[in-house]
Amino acid sequence: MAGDRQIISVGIDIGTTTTQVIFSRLSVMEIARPGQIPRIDIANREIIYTSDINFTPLIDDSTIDAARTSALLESEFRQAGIQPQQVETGAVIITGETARKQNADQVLNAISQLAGEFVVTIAGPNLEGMIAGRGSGAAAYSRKHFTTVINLDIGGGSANCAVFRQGEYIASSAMRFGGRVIEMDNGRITQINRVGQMLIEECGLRLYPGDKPDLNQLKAITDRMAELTNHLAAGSTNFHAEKYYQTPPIQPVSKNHCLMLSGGIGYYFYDPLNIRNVVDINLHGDIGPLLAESLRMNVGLMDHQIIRPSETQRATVLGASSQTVTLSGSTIWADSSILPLKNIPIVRVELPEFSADNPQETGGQIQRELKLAAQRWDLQSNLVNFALSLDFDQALDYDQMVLLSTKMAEFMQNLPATLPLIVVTRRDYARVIGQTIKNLVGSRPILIIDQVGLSEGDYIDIGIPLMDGRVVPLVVKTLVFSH
Amino acid sequence: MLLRTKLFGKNYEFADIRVLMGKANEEKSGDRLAGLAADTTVERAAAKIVLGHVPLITLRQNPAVAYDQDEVTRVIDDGIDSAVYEQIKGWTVGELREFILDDRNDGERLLKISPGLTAEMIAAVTKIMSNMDLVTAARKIRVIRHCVNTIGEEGTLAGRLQPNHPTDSPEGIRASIYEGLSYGVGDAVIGINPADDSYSSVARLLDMSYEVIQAHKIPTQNCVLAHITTQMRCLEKGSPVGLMFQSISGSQKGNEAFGISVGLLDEAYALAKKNCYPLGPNFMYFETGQGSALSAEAHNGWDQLTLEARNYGLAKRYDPFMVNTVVGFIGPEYLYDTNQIHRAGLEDHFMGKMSGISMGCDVCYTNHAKTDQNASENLAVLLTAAGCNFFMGVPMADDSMLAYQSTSFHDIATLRATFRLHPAPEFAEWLESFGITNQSRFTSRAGDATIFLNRTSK
Amino acid sequence: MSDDHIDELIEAVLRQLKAEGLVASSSNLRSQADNSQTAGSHTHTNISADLVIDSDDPTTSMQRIIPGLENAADQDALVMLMETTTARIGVGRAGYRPKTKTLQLFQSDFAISQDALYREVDPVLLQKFDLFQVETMITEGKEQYLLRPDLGRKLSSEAMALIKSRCVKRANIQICVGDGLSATAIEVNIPKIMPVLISGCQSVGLSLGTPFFIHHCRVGVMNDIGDILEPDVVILLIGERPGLGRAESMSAYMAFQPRSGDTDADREVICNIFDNGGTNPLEAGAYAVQLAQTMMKNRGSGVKMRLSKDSER
Repeated sequence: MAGDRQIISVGIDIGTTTTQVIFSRLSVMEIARPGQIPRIDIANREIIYTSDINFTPLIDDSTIDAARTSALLESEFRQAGIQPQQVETGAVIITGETARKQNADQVLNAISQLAGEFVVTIAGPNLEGMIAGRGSGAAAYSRKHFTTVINLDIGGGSANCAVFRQGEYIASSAMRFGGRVIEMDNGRITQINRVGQMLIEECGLRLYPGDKPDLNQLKAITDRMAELTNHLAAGSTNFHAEKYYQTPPIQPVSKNHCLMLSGGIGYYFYDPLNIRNVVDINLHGDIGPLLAESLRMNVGLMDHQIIRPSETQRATVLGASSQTVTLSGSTIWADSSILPLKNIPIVRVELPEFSADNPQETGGQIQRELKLAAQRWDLQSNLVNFALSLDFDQALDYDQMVLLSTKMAEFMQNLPATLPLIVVTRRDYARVIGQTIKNLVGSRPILIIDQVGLSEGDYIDIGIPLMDGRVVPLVVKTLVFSH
Repeated sequence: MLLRTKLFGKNYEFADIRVLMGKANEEKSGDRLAGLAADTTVERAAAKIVLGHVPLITLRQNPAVAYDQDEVTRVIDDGIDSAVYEQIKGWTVGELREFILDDRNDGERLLKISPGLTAEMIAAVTKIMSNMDLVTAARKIRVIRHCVNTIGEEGTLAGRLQPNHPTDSPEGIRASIYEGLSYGVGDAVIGINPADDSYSSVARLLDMSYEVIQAHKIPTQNCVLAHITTQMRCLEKGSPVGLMFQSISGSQKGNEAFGISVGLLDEAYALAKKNCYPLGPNFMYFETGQGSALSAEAHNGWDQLTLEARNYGLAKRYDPFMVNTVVGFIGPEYLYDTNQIHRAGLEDHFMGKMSGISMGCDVCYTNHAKTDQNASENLAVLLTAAGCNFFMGVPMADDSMLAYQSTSFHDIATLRATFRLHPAPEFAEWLESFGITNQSRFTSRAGDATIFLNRTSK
Repeated sequence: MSDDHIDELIEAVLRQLKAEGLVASSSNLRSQADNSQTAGSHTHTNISADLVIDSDDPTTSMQRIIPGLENAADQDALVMLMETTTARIGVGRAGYRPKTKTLQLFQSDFAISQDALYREVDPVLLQKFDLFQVETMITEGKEQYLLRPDLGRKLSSEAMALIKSRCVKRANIQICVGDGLSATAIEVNIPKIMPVLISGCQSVGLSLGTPFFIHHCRVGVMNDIGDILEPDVVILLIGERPGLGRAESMSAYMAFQPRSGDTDADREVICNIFDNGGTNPLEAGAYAVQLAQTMMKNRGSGVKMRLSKDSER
């Protein structure tokens, strides 16, 4: 039997303010379960290198300097003693306002040689929140303490909220504000972004670049952001909050939960600066530390049980490095010739209840649902790979499994010959469905994996099989970075 | 050697001590499987009569496996206190029984003769004792041992918290630990049977259980019941091990089937004394059970009770904090029904105590034995009356990993309340300070696992 | 003492117990008797005539996850604690004893495992899968089967003769079914796993022997089968010892060219085959085919084979 398999994973977080890199070593192990089918899992995630927190190199206030960013990352690789080809997986995240900037593509191109074949690029507020919450330790804490944790990751340009219940990601939402909405230098405002402008106006203030605001004026603005944070955590909204939401609010969480803050603002939330005047706050050239202070004083947030996360400033990069990859179930059917695959959209198939006495009717229904799914995906104009997510929550008998497999094989016969059949199920049926379909379709490549739950609109990356082909690594993404 | 009696006018003769010992046993399916049981009930009665006349010296001279062939025999024989032995070697087994039951001889007196007895002598006297003999004799003997806390004091009953999980999920195990603690169980040990015996899995569970103990300042010891070599590796690499565990057998061959030897146990004991975190001086935990030698074909033609007595003779060498027989686990081919399980439980408990061991019992059964939970509850009551040091605490008695039924958290709490017994003194104090008990009675917090979820902010 | 006085006393006690959380404040057992009482018929008329008890099945997975403890310090967390394990936690207590519902669920679970143990496999199932029946050396029924595992590991001489006369020899795969300790496990899982094994073997070009059913079967009987039929791989599907409330768990034991004297160290096993919680029988079948292919490739099975392979490395 195969032994341990070590994978080096990189996380690269290019944010509005800072750029960070972390390398992790993931150990994929066969976990013996006496008498049962051994499970393959990521048994250990060990950080092997943590970069400094570097300022993101900018050409001007709205453009990342792709060349210098690439040089910065190359130097981090060198310092870590890691060759780009050693890196098998991981994620590059371009977060916050930076992700909106036009040169994101340029940056990705510049660093493409650094990212291994299975390093994925991800962005989107929901995913950022989830990755930050995994990296901060919120997910682990919720598992260990049998509770629900809301993680608020607040950086320069965005506030991401994610909810974890017993280690499982439940929901996320985000707002566009952060410490860098107003930039400062030595007590003087150097820059105000669009969101900063909105906040100033809502506070009834008149502040412009070059002004020397007093502490109370800035405090009014950060207090306002603290109120927005309050909405974000509570899953509530109003006329004002609505303008800042980038996503729908989360569903309110039951009372016995915990709250964690991460990101740069999270850091100063737990280890506050002593702020006596305006000059004290501009350590990083923005009003971040004051925002942390406003959060500390916010009465609404004090209603939550507040816990210190294991990681604040590095939460996102840590999550990107060590928490993005998962493994499929350990009995799958994978024709490795078609792997790896990237950015595979998920098309969900709502399967009917399998009726015991009328297989023909069930067969018809399955056929219809597959057809509907294909129509939704618009096969004619989209001649690219996609995966069917089979949604059923019942134990199948043999005839039902054969019926389902037959219908999928028929569906495959109607697919363009260039496309493989890719199927994902939550329940543990991949190997038997694979065996059955393979029997029907012959040499055409199929990929059937299980124990992964996906929704329509998700995208997945599927890596090269590990451990004698018994599992495939996966990265599930709720939103693909748009090129 | 002539071993014979007349009974109801008929002659009953036994070829040798081995045959006599087998036939003098109460009915056990395992002895029948091995072809050692008495053919008739009268033959059994006859064997008991003859055995009653056998002098102790003869039993020392006829161990289950010869001295030069078996290291367990050597451990036991070399451990005999010759001064004591010289005084009692002329006694017959019948006289030994009456000495043990004599009301002028208290537990201390019995423990004084214990070092002069071999396992075969203790087995022999057990065979001719009735169930109530076994209860009252064991009740006299208190064996008190100390690790982090103290087990075995008069007026106490401890519980091993057994929070097993089918896939060793640390969260699932912790959930069961919290539940057990909230019922006042866990003073004997927080002892986890791992599904996966590998180093990393065992180390992880040691860390987790120790963390719970530290976080709530619980005066108890942890243990992961993996193979002893895995625990040694953990201990060498710095894992927090409270007690070192191993299943043992009554013969060298039986121990070989478990992958252990006296040399290995010696090594483990030395390592435990050096590296286990508790104060001690008792660091070892053994499990035994009638029939295990036979199932490994390592019984050398002897009955399962005698082999079981030899377990305690071996265990004694390591001055263990706790030993328990897993009395109904092995299945109906060794102990068929309620009667046989009850008898074996009482026998094992007495033999352990008579050997000077801190003895407890996993009162249990598998679903193919002819018994049920009511029967287990009965045996637990009998053994509590007999002064048993500890029982197992399993959530609702149903072990979700090992698929057998033992005794529950509720059972331990009930036995304490019914017999007016207390947990180990240090642990009892902790229960008071944690608000689970108030003046030894349950508070409304008792039975609520969530009281351990103190999520404190920094 | 008047009846009223007694009622008052009882009510006072109940109030206190409720305050301490020792009795449930509501019951999901609704009866018309309750209704008639709340309607104020506080008299000695016979209300039992109208009694209707229609209790929910406490063994459903939905019922099992309801906490018995109703006033935990953190009730949400109690549910989460329970979700992490199949152990019976969060059950609460009636004094020092379990609550009535918890105790009765335990007793019901025990009952179903007992019934599975003493039942025989339905002959209709054997006919349906064309399994002829043979006996081991057990001749005196279940009790002897439980007491004499050695006899359950050997085929009777009649069985040997029948197998010789009816079965294909030296197939790649020989499938056998044994009752073991649970007839239920066989009845529930065979209809699902058998066709997967058969079609799976056929599709990868493995030849199949003639399957049959072994009554009073123990795992060791695989050695006799190997001796007589000399297949490459024997797959024995056998009912496991029933767990509490779980009688449907089956094992698939597999061995490469088993012969007399072989032990568990020469075999592979997939345990816990059952729907909803174990490895489901369809997937287990597909995995067994994969495992059989591995055995044929390695020309061996079991821990022994793995150890010898490791030492080659």
